[in-house]
Amino acid sequence: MRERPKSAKLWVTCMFMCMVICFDIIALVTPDREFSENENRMLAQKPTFSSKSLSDGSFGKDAEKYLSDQFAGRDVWSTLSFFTKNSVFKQREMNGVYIGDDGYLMLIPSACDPASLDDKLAAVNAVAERFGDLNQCMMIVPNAVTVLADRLPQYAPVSEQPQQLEYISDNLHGVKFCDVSGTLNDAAYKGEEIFYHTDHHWTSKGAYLAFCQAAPDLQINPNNVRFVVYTASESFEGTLASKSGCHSFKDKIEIYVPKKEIPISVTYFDKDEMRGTLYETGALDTKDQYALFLGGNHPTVTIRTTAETGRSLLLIKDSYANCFAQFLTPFYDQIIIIDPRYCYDSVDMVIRQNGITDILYLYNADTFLTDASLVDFLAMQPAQENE
Amino acid sequence: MSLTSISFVFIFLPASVVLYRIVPGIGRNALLLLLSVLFISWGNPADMVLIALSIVFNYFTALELAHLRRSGGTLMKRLVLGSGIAANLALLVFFKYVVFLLNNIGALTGIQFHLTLPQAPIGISFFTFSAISCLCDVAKGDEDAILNPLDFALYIAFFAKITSGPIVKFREMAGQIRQRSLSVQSLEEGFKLFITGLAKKVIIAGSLGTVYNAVKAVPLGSMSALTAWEGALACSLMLYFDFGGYSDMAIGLARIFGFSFSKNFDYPYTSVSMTDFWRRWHISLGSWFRDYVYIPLGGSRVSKKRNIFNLSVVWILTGLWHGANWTFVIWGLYHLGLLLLEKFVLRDITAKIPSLIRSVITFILAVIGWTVFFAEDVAYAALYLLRMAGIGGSGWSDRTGMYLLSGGWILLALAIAGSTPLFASAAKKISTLNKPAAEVIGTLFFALLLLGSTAFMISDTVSSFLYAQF
Repeated sequence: MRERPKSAKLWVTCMFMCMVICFDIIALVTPDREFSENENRMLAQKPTFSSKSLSDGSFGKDAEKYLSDQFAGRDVWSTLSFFTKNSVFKQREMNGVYIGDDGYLMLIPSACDPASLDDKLAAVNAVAERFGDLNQCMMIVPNAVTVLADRLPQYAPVSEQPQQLEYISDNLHGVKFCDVSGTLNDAAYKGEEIFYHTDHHWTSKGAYLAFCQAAPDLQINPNNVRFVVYTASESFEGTLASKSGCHSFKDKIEIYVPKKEIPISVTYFDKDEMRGTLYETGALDTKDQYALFLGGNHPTVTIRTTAETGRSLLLIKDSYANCFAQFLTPFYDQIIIIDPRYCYDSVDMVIRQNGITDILYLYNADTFLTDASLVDFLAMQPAQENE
Repeated sequence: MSLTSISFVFIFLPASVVLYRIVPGIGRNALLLLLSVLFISWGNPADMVLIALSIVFNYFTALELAHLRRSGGTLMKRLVLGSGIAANLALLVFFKYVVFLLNNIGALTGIQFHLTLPQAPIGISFFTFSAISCLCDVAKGDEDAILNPLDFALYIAFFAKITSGPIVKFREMAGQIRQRSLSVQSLEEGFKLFITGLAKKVIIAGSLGTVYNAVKAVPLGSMSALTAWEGALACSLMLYFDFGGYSDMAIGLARIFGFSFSKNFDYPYTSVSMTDFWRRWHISLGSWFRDYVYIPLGGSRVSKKRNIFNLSVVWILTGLWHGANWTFVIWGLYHLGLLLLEKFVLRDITAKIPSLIRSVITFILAVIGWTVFFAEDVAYAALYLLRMAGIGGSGWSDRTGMYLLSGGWILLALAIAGSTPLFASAAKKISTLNKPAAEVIGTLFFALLLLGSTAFMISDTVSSFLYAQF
């Protein structure tokens, strides 16, 4: 039998060498990027070469990070990898994010430690007891995994937040629990956009519905103020898009402005800055467009208004409150906003120094159930330290 | 440096290939050695120092053994061989097993040892076995010692195999180090193997790792049998694609530089028996133990009792070689038990069972073994096996199991199909058409694999750095 002559072609070799060298050349000629908008993080820069960095092996590791971060078309590669995992392998979650129906990305909540929850509730109840004459409310907003449960991937674990919120509600003493779950669930069922598709925050619409629901507890009448809705952005791509690698949706950010605007001043103590608006429009030019609301998270923000209602609100919160504040300004002369994750003051001091009349705890369920900084903020300070 | 890093695939490899072409034949081994030194030192230069010491020691020991063999000093030869092997094993034991040993002594005697050892150098389990292979082959006369120290260093440190093998025997590689030719065909095959291995490891094994990690995150107390089996399948297939893919890359690389290494995996999950499985899984390790432990002990040409003893030694050592944990010893004993059953009890029965059914049974037995292999300790392994049997936890099936299945079944099915010769034989059929179209399609396919692997290599760094940002 005559053997067929073996082909001696270098197709794959040439393909490999050409492709690899082409990418190297593109990476070489394109300038290095400092920040990745898609991933929302700083990118590794050229590693510094020294005998020390070489001998401890850190040069090799840094060089690898640099090459990977500055690789030609980095964002396209991430999208390709997401596509393979999601569309070919049908993976339902990426990096702690559910890929839900209708383009919804939903953060998978962290596990809650029941003992630390009890500590938090005890601290809240203790404040209620110390300042019994203040109107105190707590609004814990269920997350997208709970409200948009029907958009979760099939068989995804059932959220435990309804039971956890009920537990919180049952164990508060002297603090009214503003239950907004029903309102948000109904609105979501009707197709209202309660949460951003690409971010873990709620929309202004969601916050507005919750505000109306909670108004009686807050002892305010929302009907006294009419809000006008403006679209601030239609190109918002939030942190969940970065985290999951899914970049197929752009969200709309709306703001609610009182029809009869009243002058306000917003003071950011960490930046030593005063503004005449709640909205940092500069944030719309950055990746984190949600920072439009109050410029993102700050330890302490004070809003002063000319509402002349004689009421002063202490808002103890996480970032969910940033877009909620816009509904509160017409109802309080002063709103002190504290984010205990970054603030090292104590609640007693803040209340006494600012003539607080109302307290509102506003958190999303995931942060409230897992973040422990609230306990420190609420802990009673010895009297002498306050004076 | 890792074979699946951007720096290796996009800079080190293409540069090496070009340099290898430029450098004249006589300097090529020195070039490969230089590249290997760079490769090893890249992550941790201290590793290179240790490997260099091992090279120097084994080079002179091998020369001495060759001399003694020629001069007929049998007793002296045995002494030198014995101490040479002991020195290599001492290095391995020091870095890999001392803490394990002390912990066990501590558990028995109640004495607490506080010992922190430096991190084990890259590929220690592999290069010490390569060195032992060299000493044995030279002492036995199967191969002459390599006189050129640079060539000898290349045998130990060749970057294609230093990190995770294959453990190429000295007698297989020595001749190729002295003389080898690089044909166009082997270059092309080398690249094909390298790209295939890269894709197996980065795309398939990496994704299976995600499935397995999701299962591992489920508490054993509430794990259903469905979830447990998904985890078992995922880790079994992950290990095959990770290690098999790595071996393909290593063998492909070797081929790119003119070496020809035997295959390390031969579709092990299609084996018809456990004996067959071990002829197809990590072939270079099995063959090392056969040649340097089992046969020197007398192999199977001894009494039944002695044969069982020989096999037991081999399998306890094989288990321990994989790691310093009782789970690996149990895993080794599990395989020993199955092999003994096959060899001495079931031989007549298994012959009557259709081969497809035998393959399925062998696969399931291997999968059960891997769950022990991957368990963090013996208690976890025992509980996990109970869950697989549907005992305790959430029964046979639950929502978590269904959820993990809905997001993992395509990958698992693809991986099972990929661990059979199905794709390879399809590719072969297409290539035998020998039409230009087939070559174009083939090249495009490899281009696609390379693109996909690149995407996974790059996006994997996303997740590892992300948490600092949020």
